[in-house]
Amino acid sequence: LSVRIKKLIFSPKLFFLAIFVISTLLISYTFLLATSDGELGATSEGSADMTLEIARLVRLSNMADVAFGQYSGSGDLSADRDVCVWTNDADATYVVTATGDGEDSAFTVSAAAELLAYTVYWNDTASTDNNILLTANQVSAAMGNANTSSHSCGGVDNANFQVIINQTSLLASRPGTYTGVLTFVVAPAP
Amino acid sequence: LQCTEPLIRRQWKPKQVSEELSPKQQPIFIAKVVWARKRRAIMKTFIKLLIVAITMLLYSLPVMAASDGVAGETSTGTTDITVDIPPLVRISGMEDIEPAPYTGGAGGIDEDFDLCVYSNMAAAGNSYDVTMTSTSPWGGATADQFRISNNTNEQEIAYTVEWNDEDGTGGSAVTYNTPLTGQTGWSNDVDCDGDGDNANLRVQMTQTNLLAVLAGEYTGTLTVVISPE
Repeated sequence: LSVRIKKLIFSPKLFFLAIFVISTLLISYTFLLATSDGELGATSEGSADMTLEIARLVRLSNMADVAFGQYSGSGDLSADRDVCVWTNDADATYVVTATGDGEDSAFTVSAAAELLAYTVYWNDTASTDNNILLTANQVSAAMGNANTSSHSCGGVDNANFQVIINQTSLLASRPGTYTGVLTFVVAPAP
Repeated sequence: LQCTEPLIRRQWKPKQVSEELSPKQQPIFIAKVVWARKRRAIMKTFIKLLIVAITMLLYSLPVMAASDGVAGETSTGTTDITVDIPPLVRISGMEDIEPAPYTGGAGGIDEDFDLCVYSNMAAAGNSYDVTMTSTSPWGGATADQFRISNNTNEQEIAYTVEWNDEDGTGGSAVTYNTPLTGQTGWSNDVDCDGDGDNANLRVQMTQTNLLAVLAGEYTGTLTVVISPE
């Protein structure tokens, strides 16, 4: 008898029947879990389950150009701008990567073939105090203080970048109007 | 009737213009012509105003090259950086001229020193000017002339100046407050490091002038102005 039972249990027919039953049950369960149709009647109620994942988002705004004007021949040139960083991350943290438009994303401005290097600092407050030197095309350390409630920071900037061109570089440069584009990419902190 | 005017010909087809108009039609036709003229004048004025408005709008638009990021998994903002570096120059290595007391030598006084002229200009196709003036304590000294003076004696000693655009003497005579043009040979290092001095300033006083004044200390300031040409 046990041999017959074993044959029955392990027969291909029963195997495929088991597979069919299990699949049907799983599909039905999944279907019932996601949505439900209503009954035919004076009212009918159906439901749909919704799932939405919101990624960690950031926004950098209130950017402004840096126009140093004409160099007088004395001292470093320094300019800074307050900006707004928003994130939906509850930690209010982010990282920033700056790139210049020089070779290998170097921080340089140019006039024809002449290049003039500059340095870039970032601060996670709207001031230059204790700001951090950025390396071109390298992700910064984690910054904080991002606004988590307003894309535009409610009009109150919460970060700052500073651009400095030192006197030695300026005096070593040929006359001309030097221009360049400095790009900041803000991303949620890892 | 003014049917032959060019304006009318433009407004109506020749066929209409050439047609004979009945007395009843004439006032209507004239009214149409007048209205066409007015309409044309109004349109001309409107177009002029439109051009002016567009021009003013274009001029008033701020040049905003900086860009904000949009919200996303990363956000990118850009800023344009501009700096204008003009031709710059610097004179350094200036020294006081303090010759030993004059003892009546026939050669008068002849003093010079080498100094440094820096510029960020490229050597090719560029040059600089040198302009010199002097001041001295005695107000009665001759104007527009290089001089030192003694306020007590109320006397002055005129001197001449030479500028050389390389080290060592042998330069050109400088006229008071007149640019000496076409000077070259500067260093691109602000302190002439590695290049050494590249100019020379020479002051000379003749025996005649030195013997023409009373004994005493004669002082003054010679100001040298370098400027890109």
